[in-house]
Amino acid sequence: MFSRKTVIWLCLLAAALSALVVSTQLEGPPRTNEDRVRSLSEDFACPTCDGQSVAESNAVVAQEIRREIRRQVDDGRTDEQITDALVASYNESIDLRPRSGGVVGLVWTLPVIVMVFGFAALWSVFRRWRAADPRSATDADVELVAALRQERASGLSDASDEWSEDAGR
Amino acid sequence: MAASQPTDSPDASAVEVELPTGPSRPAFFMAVAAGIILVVFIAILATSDGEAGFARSPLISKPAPLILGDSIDGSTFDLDAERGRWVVVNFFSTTCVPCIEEHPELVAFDEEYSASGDASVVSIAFSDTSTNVRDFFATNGGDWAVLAEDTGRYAISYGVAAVPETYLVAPSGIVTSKFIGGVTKVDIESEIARLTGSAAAS
Repeated sequence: MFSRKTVIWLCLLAAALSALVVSTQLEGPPRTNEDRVRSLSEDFACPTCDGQSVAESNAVVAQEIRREIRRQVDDGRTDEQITDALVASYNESIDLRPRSGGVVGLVWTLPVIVMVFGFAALWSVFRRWRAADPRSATDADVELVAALRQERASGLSDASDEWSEDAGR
Repeated sequence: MAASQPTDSPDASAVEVELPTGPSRPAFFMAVAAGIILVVFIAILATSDGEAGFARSPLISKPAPLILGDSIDGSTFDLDAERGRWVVVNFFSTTCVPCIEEHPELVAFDEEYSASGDASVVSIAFSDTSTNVRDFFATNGGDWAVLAEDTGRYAISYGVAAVPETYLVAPSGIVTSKFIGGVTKVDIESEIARLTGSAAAS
């Protein structure tokens, strides 16, 4: 039904997909409030610093934002609520993670699109090369080889060293 | 030449067979696609206000975030209770030089408008102690509500990056303006005049 190669490829694909699904579904160890505060403060830019996150910076405002994140985490707010609140007061420059929507969403989608198109292009090019590369001999090839063989066979009567090996067959 | 012959021939013959227009066609399409993507990216980058960064406050035209706490004189300040008059929300710290420089301006503004009930001022200390804040007001004057303890949450909810920053809240409770750096009495007056003028015109 399927060739052996197809079966191997399907097995590989199934293994890769199931590994992906399992890895996204698995939950890590439970996160403490401390973990959440740390990872959240890494996601926000310090408003007065150049290119530092709230976690890295010692600026007054970074300390205050850390304290505020801590307070909101202890209040039981979700990561999303905390992010939304900070974006609502500082604007989206404070959010270091690329957003999933709008033009910024291209950051996530473009590599996938390029990869899909790239593989498709490779596949079609390989197919074209294979189709244009006739592995079976044409009539002209057969005639040419036959003519050469004949020539060689007639030359063998001279017992030339060069052709002695072929002559044995 | 002889070495490159075998690798070239299958490619050349393939293109010759399937695409009579010649081998440059896929390359041409790729170049066009890359060119379009480049132009789009340049357009996006040229039109985006990336450098504006934190200067743009998303609070403008939004309801003012809650301010509810104890003033250093022991009374309770509630921003919502100030509806019906303009409120100047000033974030400062006692050690910041521009804050000390702008303070007389706030005092002058408060003296002119708070008695009539047209406007009021509230100061919120940023990362400071109530002892320092009391000393600051004793030295520099100013008779209005001052929040000093546990004020980080107000500063963060208004999006304060560095003191001094001043926000103007309309009588309707909407944030209308943000002043970064030291502010003057005239700054606030002309902003209120601009806003009331445009409100009357519309």
